[in-house]
Amino acid sequence: MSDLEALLREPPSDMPDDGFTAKVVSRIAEARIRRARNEALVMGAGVAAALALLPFTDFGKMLQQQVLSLDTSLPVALTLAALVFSAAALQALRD
Amino acid sequence: MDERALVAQAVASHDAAAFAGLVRLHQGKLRALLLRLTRGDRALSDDLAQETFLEAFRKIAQYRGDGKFASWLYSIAYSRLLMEARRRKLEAIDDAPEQTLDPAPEIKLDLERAMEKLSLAERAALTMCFAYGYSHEEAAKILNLPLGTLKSHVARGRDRLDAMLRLPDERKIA
Repeated sequence: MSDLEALLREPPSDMPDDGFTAKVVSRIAEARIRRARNEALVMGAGVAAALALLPFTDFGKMLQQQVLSLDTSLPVALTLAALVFSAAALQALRD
Repeated sequence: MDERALVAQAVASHDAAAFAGLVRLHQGKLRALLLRLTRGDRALSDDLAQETFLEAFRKIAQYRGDGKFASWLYSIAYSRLLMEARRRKLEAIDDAPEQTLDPAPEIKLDLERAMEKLSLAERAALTMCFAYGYSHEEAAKILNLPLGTLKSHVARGRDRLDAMLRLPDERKIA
């Protein structure tokens, strides 16, 4: 083996950890939270879109008639509850 | 827990704690490799090392265990380094200066300084084949290069280093 090859076979010195592993673990945790939020937002958007389209479907129209025939205050209460729930969910996601 | 068990646990359950064990095991060598390949740019090499581990964690299910875990990491790291070099157009990383001899011939260059004068591919090929002990075939796979190209980088890099590290008296004889 030549002198050069002997020199080349010496690997570069290992770097000390210096908190590197902790940084990677913290970034993995951040990435997981970000992914969970994104998934929740996509799911929320999907549910909102489905709800928005519901009145235009046969099932939605049938449901509307059923609810309206029960009590006029019920649809209003349900709508308000849905709005409050959505606002709370969005706020939680933003936090 | 040994590496095999950590890999198995990280693959099976996408377990961040098991993966942290793998980071602890491999960060020293991976960061040292990237530091050499980036010509001593500590900030860039650490960023790339972090991105490498994050990508490895995302893709851990794709690791089939048919090679060393370190080889898989180095492969991700080198591909990230190439992307970064292209994105930033980092001539400092990728270009091989035309000059092969030390401008001050009376000073013998040490290996790290001499390595900095090689191209990225030459530095990577030499480090993989000599310092990290991979065969030409394994190194070609890690660096995603055809075997012949890898061998050319090794031969050319070795010749250039040989010329740079030779003492002035030896140059005269040669």
